[in-house]
Amino acid sequence: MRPFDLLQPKTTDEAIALLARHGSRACLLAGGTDLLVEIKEGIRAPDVLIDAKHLPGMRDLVVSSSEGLRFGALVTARELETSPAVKDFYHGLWQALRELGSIQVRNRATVAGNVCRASPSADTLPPLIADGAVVAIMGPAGERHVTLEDFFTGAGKTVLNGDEIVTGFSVPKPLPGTGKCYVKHGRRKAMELATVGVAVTMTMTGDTCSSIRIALGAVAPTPIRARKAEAVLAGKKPDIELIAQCGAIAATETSPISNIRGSADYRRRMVEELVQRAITAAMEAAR
Amino acid sequence: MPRKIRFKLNGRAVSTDVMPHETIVDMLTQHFDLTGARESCGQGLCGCCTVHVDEKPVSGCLSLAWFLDGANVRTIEGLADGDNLDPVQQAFIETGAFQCGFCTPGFIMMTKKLIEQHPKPTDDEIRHYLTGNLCRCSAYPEIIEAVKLAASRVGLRN
Amino acid sequence: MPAAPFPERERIDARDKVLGATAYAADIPLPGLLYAMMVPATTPKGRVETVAVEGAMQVRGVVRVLTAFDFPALPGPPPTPATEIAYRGQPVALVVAETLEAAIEGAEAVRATYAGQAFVPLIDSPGAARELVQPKKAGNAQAAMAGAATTIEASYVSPAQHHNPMEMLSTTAVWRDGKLTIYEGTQSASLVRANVAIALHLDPAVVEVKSAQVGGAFGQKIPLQRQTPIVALAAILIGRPVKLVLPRAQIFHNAVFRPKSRHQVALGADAGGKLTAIRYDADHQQSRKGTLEPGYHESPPRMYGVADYDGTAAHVRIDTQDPGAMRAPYPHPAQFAFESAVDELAHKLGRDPVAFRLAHQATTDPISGNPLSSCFLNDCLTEGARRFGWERRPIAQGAMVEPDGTLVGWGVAAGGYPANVSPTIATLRVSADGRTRFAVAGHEMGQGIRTVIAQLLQRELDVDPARLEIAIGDTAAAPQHTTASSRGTVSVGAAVTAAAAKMRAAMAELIGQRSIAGNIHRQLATVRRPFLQVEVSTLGPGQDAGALDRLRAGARAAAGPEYPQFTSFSYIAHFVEVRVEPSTRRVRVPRVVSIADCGRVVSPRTAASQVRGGVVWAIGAALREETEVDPRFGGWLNADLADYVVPVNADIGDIDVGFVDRPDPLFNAVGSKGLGEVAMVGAAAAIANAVFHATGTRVRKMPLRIEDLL
Repeated sequence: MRPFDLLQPKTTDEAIALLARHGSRACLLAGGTDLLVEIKEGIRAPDVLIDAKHLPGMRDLVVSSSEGLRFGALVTARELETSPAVKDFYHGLWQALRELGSIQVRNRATVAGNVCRASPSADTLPPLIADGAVVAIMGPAGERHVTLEDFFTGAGKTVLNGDEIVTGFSVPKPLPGTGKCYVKHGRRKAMELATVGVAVTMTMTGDTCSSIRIALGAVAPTPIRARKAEAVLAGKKPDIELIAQCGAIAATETSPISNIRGSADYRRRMVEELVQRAITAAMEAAR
Repeated sequence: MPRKIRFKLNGRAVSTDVMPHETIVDMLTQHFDLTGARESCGQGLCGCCTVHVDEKPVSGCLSLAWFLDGANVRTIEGLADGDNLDPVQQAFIETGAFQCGFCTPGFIMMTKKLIEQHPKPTDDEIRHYLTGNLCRCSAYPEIIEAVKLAASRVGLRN
Repeated sequence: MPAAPFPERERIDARDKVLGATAYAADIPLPGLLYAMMVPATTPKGRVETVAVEGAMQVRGVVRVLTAFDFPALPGPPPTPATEIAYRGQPVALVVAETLEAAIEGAEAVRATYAGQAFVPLIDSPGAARELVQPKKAGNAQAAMAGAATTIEASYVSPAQHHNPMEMLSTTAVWRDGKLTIYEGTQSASLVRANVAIALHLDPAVVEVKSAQVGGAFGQKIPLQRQTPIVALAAILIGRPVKLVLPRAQIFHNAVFRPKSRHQVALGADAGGKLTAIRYDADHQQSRKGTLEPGYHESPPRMYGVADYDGTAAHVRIDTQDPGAMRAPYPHPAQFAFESAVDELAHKLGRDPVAFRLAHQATTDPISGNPLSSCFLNDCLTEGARRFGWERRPIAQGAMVEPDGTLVGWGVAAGGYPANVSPTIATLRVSADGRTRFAVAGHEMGQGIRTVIAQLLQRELDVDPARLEIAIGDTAAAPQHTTASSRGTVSVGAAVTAAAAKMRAAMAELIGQRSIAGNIHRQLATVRRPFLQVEVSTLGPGQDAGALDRLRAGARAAAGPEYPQFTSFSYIAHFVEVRVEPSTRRVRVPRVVSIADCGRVVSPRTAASQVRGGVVWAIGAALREETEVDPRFGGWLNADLADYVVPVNADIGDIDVGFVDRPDPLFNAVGSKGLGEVAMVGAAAAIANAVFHATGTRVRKMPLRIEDLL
């Protein structure tokens, strides 16, 4: 690998100061599973890596039905995946985590890395958006919070300034009667970038859908909410026709590209199909 | 600037000087002449470089050696007990679960962890656990047999 | 007397492989080793105007940068850096440094400028040059087609693909005392030796090439690799060992690849439903100066005893790197087309596709007019149908539907692959202390050639397998053939048989009338003879001593499939179940039965593994694998394993493998034919045929796009 220096700040302030000092010559290192690949492939050539491992609070993980989910930026994908409470209460996220690379990679990779790389096909983003996750950001001016939905500004682009650090995430506690689902579609059975990813978080009150959030991956420059599709179901009693309509409308909210993983038209058709599947699965889980 | 790291390698206390950019695979090859973990895809997709760090399987080509200070590292070379093969190694031989052998150390290191976590693994559990290991010779059916055989033997022993 | 069936034994090199102790070329430790990195051309076609190396030389640890100007001039396109750029990614310079990091940084600092030229990226781009080769004809296909009662005609496409063995391409070169030693994963150690000598103006006698263990090859490592003479010259000029491991993206751009090919097939059947006429036109993607023949007419004429065959083939020359052989190079794409067409014809005739094939037992090669040495394809079909449960297959499409809407389809297809053989020169030494050393041509790429040699030696002579050294892949041990085209087992089989016979004769002479107990080692010890050594050479049927000279020179020395008295092919039948998901239309292959006729099976374990591997390759080829040309900038768009999707464990279901295991005594004494390639042939067509059975949609282009099934 191309050589670089490695700095290991002990406090968040120190890390922010280092980022400010080194500017574009520096990269923040979390799990490294994306960053080191990019350095190897010459996509990035930082002179300095700033290791976030020793920053306080970055490894914290709190999850329960009463408090919701909070985790620091250095919590690995595998730690989240193997937490029974994550599986129970954040099932869409759990499903997405199992699709994130290999177990070897998940033992290093972080959700924060996934989020900051801002790849439109990243698996963890749609379920976190569907769950209403909020990103905690630390910068020279202090802490700020941005919903994950508003965090992305384009493919590979985020609201993060060069001297800011994502320190963690908080995800609201699930309301009673809530079901979640993430469906990934790829050509191979595993280990592939998503052709389409669909996450649904929905809450049922009796037979009525009291709230629903649908988030889609790999069908636009950033992960997106399918708000028009959500409006079809919100406050209604979902039946097969309504769910089908929901899928069809979701497909119109996308702006996919054609590439080796699938044509734009195919992606739209898959959104239509997978939204219906994800809603059905989430509804079943909500009961 | 290099840094001295001290860690346990296959049960033995060792130390060496590493540079920040050295991966675990670089270090194993160049400092310890251990070549069983090898780089192939360079992207964390193929599993040829799998080693255990503090009992967790990781991609050795995407992990910096710098962070190994104080860690417990196990590689394929540390699996057998002298002349006695690990049951996983033995099962891979008996089922013929490889051809060229380039990917084999990674599969074996992964299988070791798989059967710790799933003592009686189903086909689906095996396939899910081993998705991060590619075998281009495509000995996949034999590998699944090997995992089951190893699991049954380890189960009997415990 | 052909051998009786062989027992199943473990791979002889299994223990080392599970211990991580097997040393591949890049694992050889060498004192004073330098590391190299290549600088690839960033233009798809043109001329290098300048190469600025100063920046690279300023990187700490960089020892030297080699460019085109360091290499001797050669007639024709050189395998070394050249000023003429024929494809994107072609080597422009090599940076050699004390550390790998310095080599990488140095390579990034080399600046080249180019005078670019217009380039032709695709075979259907303007400027693609079509170049017909000699047609393959038998009988009068035109007349037979004109008289046919039923005809079908269709065109099929097979994409560009890359081999992607797990082992990276690498070369390590050592120049010491006027001798050059090259360590690299190759299938052709003697060819590498000969061609490096030519490229660097060296006497071949001072060059040795060692390739003891290869981490997968599949044809990628047949030709001289682009980096080899470059690294060799670096080692000579610097006087220290130099190692280059190509990053995977550079492998995609410099290794050979399976060219895209197009296949137009027309079949005619008479009023009785008998296949009587075949017309087949094929062409493939080719570089401007590449030599890989469009040899797609190997298998189709030899499958079903059709006397009237009309085949044409052409190169389509564009600006790309040289294509090369990739597993079952011609029969895989050709039989995808041909066996799909046979399925289409059987369907049109309303015939069961297995029964239709069974009715066309071949006994003669229409191209040469000679008999086939053996053909048990019908046994493969019959046994495969039995194991698969074929008689339960409804003839109509879309008739098998699961409750969740999943469509199930069953398909069949057959494959054939030439039975080739190489001449050999081998040395066998048996020692009184229990050791045995057998030196012969062959490269161990994982197919199990060492295990095959051990099997044969243990049958022929009572040698101690624990102390058996098999010296292969080494020009210092024996002249090395190109281990490809499934000729390994057949060739070493001849060598072992001949060497063992000569050894037995030598022992008999040594021992005379005495009766001595114990194995051969014990007997030598008893007569106080430290060792006995014999040397043999063998030839393929109809070959003369010239073949041995070509073998020694690292030139093409193999024979087949047409021999003076007969033509030899291996055969296989594949039965496939596909499941097509209801709305996403993803295709899964949960179940395959493959029965092969490869003559006598010498190593049941490695043979079965080869077939399973070949089937998995076909699943990858049929459903996913394609390397896409970048039409804007040249080169490949998906040059990594993230976007070139090879099969993973989760994609693979049950693969039941069987063998006819009947010897072909006409072909050789052991009675074996090749296997590694035929294993894959036809399986992709079986998948496409099963997809047709499931959905009624005929997919004629690999890889099958899910979009085609919507």
